[in-house]
Amino acid sequence: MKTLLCVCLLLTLSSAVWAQTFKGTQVGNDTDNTSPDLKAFTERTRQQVKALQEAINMISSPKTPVEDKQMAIEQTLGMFMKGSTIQVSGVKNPKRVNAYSLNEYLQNLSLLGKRYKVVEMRVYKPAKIADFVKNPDGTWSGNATYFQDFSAITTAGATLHDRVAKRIETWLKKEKDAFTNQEDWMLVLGNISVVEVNEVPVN
Amino acid sequence: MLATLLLLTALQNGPVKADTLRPPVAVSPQAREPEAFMVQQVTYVSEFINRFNHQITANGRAIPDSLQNTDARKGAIGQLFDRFSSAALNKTSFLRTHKNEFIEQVCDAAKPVRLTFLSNDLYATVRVQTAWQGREQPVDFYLKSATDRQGHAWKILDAQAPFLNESVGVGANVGPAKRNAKTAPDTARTRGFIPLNAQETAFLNLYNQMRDRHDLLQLAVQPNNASSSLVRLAQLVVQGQVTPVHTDYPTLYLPVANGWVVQVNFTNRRHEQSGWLITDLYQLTGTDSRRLPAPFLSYFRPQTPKK
Repeated sequence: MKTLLCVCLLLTLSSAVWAQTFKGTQVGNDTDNTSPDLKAFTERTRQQVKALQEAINMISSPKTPVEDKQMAIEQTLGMFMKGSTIQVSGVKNPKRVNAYSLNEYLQNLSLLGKRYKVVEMRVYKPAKIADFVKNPDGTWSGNATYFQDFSAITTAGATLHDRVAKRIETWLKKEKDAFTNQEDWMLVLGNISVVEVNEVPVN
Repeated sequence: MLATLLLLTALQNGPVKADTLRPPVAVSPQAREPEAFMVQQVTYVSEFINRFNHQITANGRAIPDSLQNTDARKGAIGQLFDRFSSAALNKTSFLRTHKNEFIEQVCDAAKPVRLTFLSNDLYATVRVQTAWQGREQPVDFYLKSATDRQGHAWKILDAQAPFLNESVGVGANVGPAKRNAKTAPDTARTRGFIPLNAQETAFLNLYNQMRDRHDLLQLAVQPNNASSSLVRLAQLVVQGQVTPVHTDYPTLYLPVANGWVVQVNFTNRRHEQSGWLITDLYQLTGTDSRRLPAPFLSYFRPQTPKK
């Protein structure tokens, strides 16, 4: 319950900060007065990725009650652009990568508790954030690479351990704030690809 | 003489108490991770270009003008070559026989050559595994960067697959592919462009466009003058007859001045150099250009070095 509160707080704070106005700054030749504060959003990306990793850990944990998992899934989906896709490496063949809708992935993640008695996902390296690039429609997009250490014990007692690097799209777009009724830049997450998978030998 | 030298060295290092001596790192009993410079990953293409230009170190720190010199840049570019690519392992490959000449020309103190990320000079091929008539079929896409004051994006030059040629004529009189009206606006599905950093996420944006049966011709460099195979693919995608299964990581081709083109791929290793690295080298003059993907050839042309 304590974990749920922490994760919900993180996700809620993430959503709340989206609504903050970041005033335009001049960065290189590719921005103007109406551009977002890219430096501020780089830091925001770091926080969002951290919140996402916390949520994934919670959704996948067999200890989390079902209702809490569903709440966390809803909150997580709210951080993403609709229709986002996620690549997932196979358990039996890590080289084989499949693509799923984000909702499908999170729902599958919440069911891991049926096959595993222990699931733990932790961060093993700080996320690496790329610069934002301006898109033809006026939005901006960037990337963040995050690193997950996955360890699990199956109900049969077998241990699995691997480390995965994933890369996520980050989008900045102008949206009307529900409270101020003004258009502000907001950070939304997008598609996620698998960058690398390394199996960790089990002692 | 030797004793004097030792004394001078000791004096330079200052007095050292016996109990402050530490064993050299090399014989430390603790297991150590490989040094960062050995495994530092070139995570993004923009980072590759900054390192190629010798603007940042392997750790991402900006290199000041006072530390810019030709030899340091030669070393930095040398580190961007993948030592394990098939071209690097083949003693007689063009890359092996011309690598030094390439580095010398790029780092020429009088005319140093630099690359630009936000430019019209990035080219990529990406393979999308698709499902067609119950079988998995690869489609190779050829893309080019397009940039202007509005923003930056990837555009499709061509798409090729044997099954597209086989099926030409089947429904060939179908009009231009149209956007799927069912999709809601302002979602990842309906963005009418492929962002310039889509190569970092294996062109999943292109995957989404195909999954949602969008008109690929709207993403083409020349929608009204597209190849028959691209037109055919666009029709099959809109009709839902071809669906994407997954996308592979792309291969990038970056034209460099003096007719050189570098091929860059994403590599994945734990204890060696990795990330976006140069896996092959081409020269547009002579017969070597034949090794390059045909859809790119008319766009590649020898350039004059930029200062």
